[in-house]
Amino acid sequence: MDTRFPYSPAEVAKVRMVQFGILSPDEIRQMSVIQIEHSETTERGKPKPGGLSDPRLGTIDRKMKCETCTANMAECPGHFGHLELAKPMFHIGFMKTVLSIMRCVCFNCSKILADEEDHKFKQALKIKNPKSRLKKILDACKNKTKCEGGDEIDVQGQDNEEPVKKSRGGCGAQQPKLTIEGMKMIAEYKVQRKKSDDQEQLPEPVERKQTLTAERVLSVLKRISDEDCQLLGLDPKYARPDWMILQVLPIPPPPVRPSVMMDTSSRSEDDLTHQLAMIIRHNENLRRQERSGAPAHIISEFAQLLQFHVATYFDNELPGQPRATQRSGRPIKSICSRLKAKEGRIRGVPWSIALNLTYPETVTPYNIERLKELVEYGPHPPPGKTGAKYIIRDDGQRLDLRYLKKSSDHHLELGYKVERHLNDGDFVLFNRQPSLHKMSIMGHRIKIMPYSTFRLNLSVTSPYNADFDGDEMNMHVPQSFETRAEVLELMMVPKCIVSPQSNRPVMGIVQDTLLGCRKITKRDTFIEKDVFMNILMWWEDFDGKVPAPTIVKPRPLWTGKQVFNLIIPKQINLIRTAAWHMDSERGMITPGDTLVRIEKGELLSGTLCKKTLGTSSGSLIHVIWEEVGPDAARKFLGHTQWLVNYWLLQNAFSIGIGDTIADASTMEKINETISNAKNEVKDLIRKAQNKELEAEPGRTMMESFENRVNQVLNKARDDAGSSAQKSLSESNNLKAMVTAGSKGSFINISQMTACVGQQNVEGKRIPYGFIDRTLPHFTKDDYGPESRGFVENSYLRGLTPQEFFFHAMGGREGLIDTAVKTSETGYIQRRLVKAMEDIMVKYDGTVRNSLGDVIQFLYGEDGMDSVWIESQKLDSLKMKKAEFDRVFRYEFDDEDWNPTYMMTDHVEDLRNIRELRDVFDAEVQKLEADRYQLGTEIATTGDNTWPMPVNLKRLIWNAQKTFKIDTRIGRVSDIHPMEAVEAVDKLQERLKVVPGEDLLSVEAQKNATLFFGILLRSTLASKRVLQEYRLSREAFDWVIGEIESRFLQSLVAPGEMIGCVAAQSIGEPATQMTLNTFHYAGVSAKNVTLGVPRLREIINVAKKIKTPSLSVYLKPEFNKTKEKAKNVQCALEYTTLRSVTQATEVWYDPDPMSTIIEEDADFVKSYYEMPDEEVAPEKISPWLLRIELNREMMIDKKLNMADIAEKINHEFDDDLTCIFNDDNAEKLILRIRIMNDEAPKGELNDESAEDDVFLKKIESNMLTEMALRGIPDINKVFIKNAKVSSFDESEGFKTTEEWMLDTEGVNLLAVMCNENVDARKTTSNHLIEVIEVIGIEAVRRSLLDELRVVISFDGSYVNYRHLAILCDTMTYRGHLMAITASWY
Amino acid sequence: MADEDYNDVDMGYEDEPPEPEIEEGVEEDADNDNNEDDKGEPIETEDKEEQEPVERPRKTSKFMTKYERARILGTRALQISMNAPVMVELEGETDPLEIAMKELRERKIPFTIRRYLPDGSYEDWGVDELIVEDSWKRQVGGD
Repeated sequence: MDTRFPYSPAEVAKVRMVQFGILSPDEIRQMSVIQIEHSETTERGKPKPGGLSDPRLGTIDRKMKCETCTANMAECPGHFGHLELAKPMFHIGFMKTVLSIMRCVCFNCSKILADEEDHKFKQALKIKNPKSRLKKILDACKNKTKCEGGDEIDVQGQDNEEPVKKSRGGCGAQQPKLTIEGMKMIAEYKVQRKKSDDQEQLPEPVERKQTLTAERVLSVLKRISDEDCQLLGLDPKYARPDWMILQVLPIPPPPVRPSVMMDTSSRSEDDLTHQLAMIIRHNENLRRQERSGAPAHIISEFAQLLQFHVATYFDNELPGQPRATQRSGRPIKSICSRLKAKEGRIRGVPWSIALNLTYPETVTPYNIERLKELVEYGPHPPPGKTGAKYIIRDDGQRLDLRYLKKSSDHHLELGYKVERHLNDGDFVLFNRQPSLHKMSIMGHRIKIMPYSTFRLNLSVTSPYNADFDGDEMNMHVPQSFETRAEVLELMMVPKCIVSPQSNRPVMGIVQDTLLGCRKITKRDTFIEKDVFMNILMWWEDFDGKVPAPTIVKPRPLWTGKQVFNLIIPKQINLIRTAAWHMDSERGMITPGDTLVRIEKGELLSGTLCKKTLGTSSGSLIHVIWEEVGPDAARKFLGHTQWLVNYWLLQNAFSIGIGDTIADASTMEKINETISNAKNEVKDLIRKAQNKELEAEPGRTMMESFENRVNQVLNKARDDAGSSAQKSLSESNNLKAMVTAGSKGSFINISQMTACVGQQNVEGKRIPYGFIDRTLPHFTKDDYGPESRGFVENSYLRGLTPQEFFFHAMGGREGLIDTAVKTSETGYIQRRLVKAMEDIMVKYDGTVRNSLGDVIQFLYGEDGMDSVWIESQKLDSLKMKKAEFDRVFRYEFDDEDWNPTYMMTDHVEDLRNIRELRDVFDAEVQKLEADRYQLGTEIATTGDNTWPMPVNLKRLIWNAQKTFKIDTRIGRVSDIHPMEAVEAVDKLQERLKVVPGEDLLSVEAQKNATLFFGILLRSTLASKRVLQEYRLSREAFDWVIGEIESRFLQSLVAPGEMIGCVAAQSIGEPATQMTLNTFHYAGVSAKNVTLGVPRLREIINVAKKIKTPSLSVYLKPEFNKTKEKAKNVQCALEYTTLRSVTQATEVWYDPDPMSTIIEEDADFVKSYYEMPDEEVAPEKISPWLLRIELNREMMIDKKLNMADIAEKINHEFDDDLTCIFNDDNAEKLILRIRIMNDEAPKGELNDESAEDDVFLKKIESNMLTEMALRGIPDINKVFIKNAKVSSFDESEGFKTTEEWMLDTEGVNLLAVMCNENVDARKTTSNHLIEVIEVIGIEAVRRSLLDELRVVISFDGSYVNYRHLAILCDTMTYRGHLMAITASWY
Repeated sequence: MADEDYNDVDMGYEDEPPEPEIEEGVEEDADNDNNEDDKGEPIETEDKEEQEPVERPRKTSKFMTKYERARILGTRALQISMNAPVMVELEGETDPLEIAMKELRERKIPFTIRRYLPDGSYEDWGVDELIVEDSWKRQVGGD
């Protein structure tokens, strides 16, 4: 608590008003504690009295108390001093005001120049606002050239017997013309007209043009009477005009301009202190010169200098003025720049955009009246009105309305153009950089408002990626009707709600509104009558009818869901689940109210959260947009915001520290979790130190250790977090936000209340920055959690200094990463756009670039615009055989077949007419064929939801609702099944994507509609229509018609620049990627480059990629058991002698038949008892290369000694002899000797000396070059268990587990040639290899898959057609084209 | 310039492939040869009659694209703003764009759309022949 303000029982006084004013010199002196006289701050190491650091200004030393207020450094706010200026100086901030006032008053007698009787002056006096009054008076005085009044008026006054008061008693002095030049004020006298009868006795001005000193100006201002001050808009009590001239300069205390201790002795002063010192010095100089009676021009020179420094002290960014600089040349930061600009304390200079931008409107009979009015207002319209800037005549002449005074010039004629200001309702383009999207520039309808910021709806911030923390945006006004029409028809915000990028909306309900939606739709939210009435008033379509309350007694209450019933369009039917829905809960209604059900625009059940109101595919926004249209979607967003925000305002919401505190028992649990984890890590450390830790495959023991520790600690954080989350009650405000989806997530909760968790740098725990330790606070070689950056505290509890430091390290890496990434992704985006910007859908439906090269024959292979595409389920794909039959097949062969869903005549028809039965058999056969094709060719992964046009299910549901279909059992449809089959067949004929009857067109049409046809047939199979949907004829016809029209509307429009769309759709998610690389945790040790670096590799078609790898699938015989897969693994992995070698030695062991090495004696002896081949002992070199092999590795690689010896013999033939011991021996030993062709002849020494050098060479050669087994470049092979689902006719889809291999290093050709490898499924992630080995079509597919992996890794989804366009531009020429900057 | 800087930044990466050689060169030569040949000959009068409107059945979509719609509305609004006679009965509309929309709604815009196909041929469609896509309009019902 601040000791200056101890507790007092007295009531705290209320601030009643705040008065702004100008400090008078007296006031400055009174509030000053000291007069500053010296420019030095310190003297002999101590603050100099009377200097800028005088202790009375406030202490600068922690040990000393303030001499004025006796408070210590923390409490003393500082006290102003003052400086007596030798001469008055202009205050640069008041220059303009001083000029205006000077122009209003007589230069000689300081009376207001204007005549009191003057019409303009009188009018001016009526203005209340002082500022505008001054402006008007200035208008009235501007043209006066002399101070009127004086004798003649007096005489006149007497004659007319009017009160003398009328005379203004001017002195008659001639008035100079005043201007400002830099920091000087210039007075210029007009040349006197030499009229003979000029009676006026005017002093002939000495000079025609003279510089006014501030002193002179001061004398004029001082004489202005208080009454005149009032008229001029200044309250003399608070702001006399003469106070605007500086006579005394207040010196701000050190807290305003703190000095920084450089070391114990020297201080570095603030810019302001430097500048003040400068002022004091020059002030002193000026005073000295004056005292010594220097000539006037010298004094004026010095005064100028002082004036300059005083001015730059206030504002160092004056136009046309040199900057005052530090010795280093850096401009001094003035008081002004402290306050202004981005890092200042006031943001943005008020400016009116609407009066700055114009639209050229041609004059027509319809608008001439309106434009005339605008022209009348001119460039400075009255408040609340807009005007115009220019008139452009039909001959092109441009009239500037600023300078047009005559009203005759305002004349307008048809055909003229008027550059009018912006109006309410004009269309503009609004943009925020970086423009990564087409949604970064959208059309808006504007409303002109006061103040100087752009305001925009919260929902539109997400596509712009904008917030309100100082973001700047640009606005462009279309200047012609063509552009206006384009803005209106193509770019308006509502039309951009659904984006083609990932075929989902980009705008949704966000922030407080989203939170409000979640709260208002809770089951226990009821709205009182008063509030509900007020909510209704926010509803645009309110017609005076209040919906019936849900609860009538004891008092009428409405539910929050009823609010939504008002605004959801009536056509809408939708089922969604809330974010916290559990799949185990089934049925129409759940305990947590998680099943959102909207029927005919009525919210029947469910809480609305981000899943329903957000931007996800199939959300309410999406459905409204697709079903009712862009404007309805826009309206829904707006209404939701209005109504819900009003309700939320009445209910209030806030969050505080209390929301982050867990109860005691939970805290205990969290602490326990963490200490358990720490113990576990301790155990791991112990094991690692004892080398008991089992190394994971492909990892060293240290790597495995780190991995295990990471797993333990991350699990601890997650466990602690989830117990924290569980402890939060339903009334917790943080939880409210998380469940609504408006802010915060699980990780935020766990970090705030439970545990911040492990901090990472470069994907690893905090590294040792000091010798063997992270920080000096720890002992060396500490591998424990605390020392390597595990933050066990929560943000709530607070971090220890060490933890804080680690946290900062991790945070810093994140910042660096984002900074690096923005430039990198920006460049990727540019290249993508440059490579594809010219690609367009042509009128014949082909996709071509500007050269006319065909990129695709049909956009996305189906010719659809991805805006109209939604995810749809293919029901038949996953059905078992029995289920399939039940859904699709009529059981008319059954004797007792008597379906309840069909009219009896129809049943009879089916029973009796052979031909009819053939039709339905054919239908089912087709469906079966469809299903087979789907499972084996199209959706081979078993994924049964695919993005496709025309949401059939919703269409059917809509039909059921609008035609009031009763779906209960026993209701019979009036459709003949035959009709249904025929209608669907005919419909398919009409769904033309590729017109034309030639064979190519027919084939193309078949391919284009194949997939949609399957969906259509399986959804509208005749039995389903009758049994499942029970559609009436009317409803069925409507569905068929609607499908046709919507299908045709979903086709891409020729002219669509889909290349740009594709480039943006890939580039934009790349910009959002966060992590650089990712390491597969646990399962496989394979490390893959992902994120931006991988995208770069793909797009650049890099020759050398960071992590080349193959995915090797095995033939069915080898993929069932791990052992068999292991065999293949050994066969693939490139193994050199080195990888199985434990140690090598070179011995001088002259007798080849025995040995001097005891260990080997036995087996050498036994070998020579029964040698494999006869070798002349004299040929054998006395030097021995002895290699000990690593048994574990040998077993792992499934190698035995004989294999290796054979390899060596094979390689070196007769040049070496190699003997080895048994595979079961204690140590595995290879003994290798050189064989010399010629028997040594006496010069044994020489020879053998050479041999040992040679042997060493052979040794290193053998270790690296000798391939024992495997394929070159396949450095490592990992086994992995993969779940593969495959189509099975009776079971639908079956998932089987199979073993497969991942490699580090690539050699696709060689691997594919291995007989146990399934060459058809094996792939490489190295594009160049794929094109070389398999070809261009294969590489296109690889490219697509690799791009998908990168994009889906961080959870993004991009529609297929965009990726396809990129793949096709890279491959359509038959070779791989890199997306690089080689086009200019 | 910026690109050079960019490459300098990450020296570690040398995966930017070399610039592909320009293949157009060959074709250009061929073109030039032709031109030279032409020069010798008396210049053929390039008076090839503007390609006859194609007789074969039109094969582009019978729907007006959104781009055509925007273009037509813009151009028509410009005409109206320059005092062209309005083809519909006005009911107090003054904004040329609004008038143009009304004209389009009533199929009264006297324009023909010439749709160029990639082979240089074209199809002419009168505005009144095209089905004005109401995929947006179905939806304008919001208000």
